[in-house]
Order: sequence, then C-alpha cells, then structure tokens
Amino acid sequence: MNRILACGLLVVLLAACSHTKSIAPGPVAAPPPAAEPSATPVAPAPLAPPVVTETPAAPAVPPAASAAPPPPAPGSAAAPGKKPVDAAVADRRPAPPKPAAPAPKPAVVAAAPPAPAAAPALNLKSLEQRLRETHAIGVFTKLSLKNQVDDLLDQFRAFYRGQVPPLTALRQRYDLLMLKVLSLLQDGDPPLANDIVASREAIWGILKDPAKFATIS
Amino acid sequence: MAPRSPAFHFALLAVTLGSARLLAADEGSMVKDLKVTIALQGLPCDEVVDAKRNADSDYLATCKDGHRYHVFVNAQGRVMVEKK
Repeated sequence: MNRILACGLLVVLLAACSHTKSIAPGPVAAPPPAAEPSATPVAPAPLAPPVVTETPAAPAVPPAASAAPPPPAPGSAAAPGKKPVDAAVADRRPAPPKPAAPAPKPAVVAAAPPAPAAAPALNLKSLEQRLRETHAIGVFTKLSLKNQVDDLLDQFRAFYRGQVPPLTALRQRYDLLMLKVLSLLQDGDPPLANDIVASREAIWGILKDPAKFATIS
Repeated sequence: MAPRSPAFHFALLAVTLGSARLLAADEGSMVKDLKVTIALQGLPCDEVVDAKRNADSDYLATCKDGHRYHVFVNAQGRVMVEKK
C-alpha cells in the first residue's frame, strides 16, 4: 500500500516537474498558445494556477527578448537591419582575436615556472607521513624498511665519527634501499614513488652533508 | 514471527559475502606482506602458500618451494625472519 502511494506521489512530482519545464520555453516560443490552454484546464487545480499566473509574464518575456538584441547592436552599430546574423557574426569575429593573442602567453609563462620549482621542493616530513599511510606496503614490510633505514642512518653516524664505511659504500646502500622502496611503491602508489624519485638526490644531499645530517638525526 | 522479505535475505547474503571477501582480501594482503618481508631479508621464497598466525606480529609462513619461516617482531622492534 505504501509503495503504491509512493509511486503515485512520484508520478505526481514528475508530472509537476515536466510541467514546469514546459512553461519556461513556452513563453519564448509562442505566447498566444499559452494563453489559450489556460482556459481549458479546470479539473487539475494545482496545474491550472501556474499557467494562469505565468501567462501575464509570458507576454512580458517576448518584448524583453526582442529588446535584448539592441544592446549588442550598439556595440556593432553598423547594421541594425540584420540583427540576428550580423550581430552574432560581429560578436564572434572580434571576440576570438582578443583573447587568443594574450591568453596563450600567460599560460605558457605560468606553466614554465612551476616545473623547475616543483623539483627542488623536498618535504621529508610529508614523505615520511605518506610512507606511513600508504596501503601499497604492508605493516611487516614497512617495519622492515624502517629497520633498514635506521641501520643506514647508524652507518652514516659511524662514517661521520671517522669509522670504516666509505661514502661510496653508503651511496650503494642508499641506492639499494631506494630501489627496494620504489619497487614496492611503483605499482601500488605511483604518485608517492614519483615524489620519492624526484627527492632522491635531495635526500642524498642531506645525508652526505654533515651539517644537514646533524639536523635530521 | 513475521516472515522476512526477499530483500532482507538478499541484504543478509550480500553482507555475508562482503565480509568473507574482506577477510579473504585481508589474508591475501598479509600473505603478500610476509612474502615481501622475507624477500627484503634476502631469503628465498617464491610464493607464500600458507601463513599461520601465532600471536600479534608473529607468523609462520610456508613457501611454495617448501621453505618455512618464522616472521616476527622482536622486543627491540625489529622484524626478524628465521628459517625453520
């Protein structure tokens, strides 16, 4: 029973919606026919009033529509006789050349600076947070990678204390660790993998500089 | 006791199947995680075919080639992989 009522309500609502749509184009197309059917509907009380109330507005719209073309016409001010064609053509001709010439130049100028500016940007905290939150790597794998990162940092500390591992060996271990991380991320989280690749040399620059390394460790 | 509608049974079936699928996906991701963890330690394992959970962060993984590994996190927070 409820379903029948709901379907009936839905049909009524749809009918109301379709009726309001037909009212809007009606006045523009033909105002006189809109006035004629207003007298015929008697039974549907909710449908009749909108038609009656909008019929006075309907005649008001066509004059406004006919009055609307003159505003573009003063812009052209050359041929008022051929309003629909010449006004449209006159509007189309001057419009494309004006934005066409200046628009591409700012676009190229604006696009050029971000490309070099994005590469050197390095946010270690953000990368670390994204690595923690990514679903491309499992929990055990993340913990295992963290262990290996900590091992590498310990080796750098030993290097700066003057102990054995040479910088070339540290670079190899750093590259190997990067390859492990990237191979794990490249399928599951390509944006993060790309950002890590972009930051690879910047991170190495921090590691190989004792002053910068002291700030992160 | 009013009889349940077919929509109720359908929703119950969908929830059951969805839960089973989620569990299967979770188990599949765990197996993959164990495989990657074993590989990161440099140990051979082509595919993990069985993973038995002993405790939190403590698994016994069996590989397709017959290798069995105890994968766990020790007290120092390090991931350990021991061949059994």
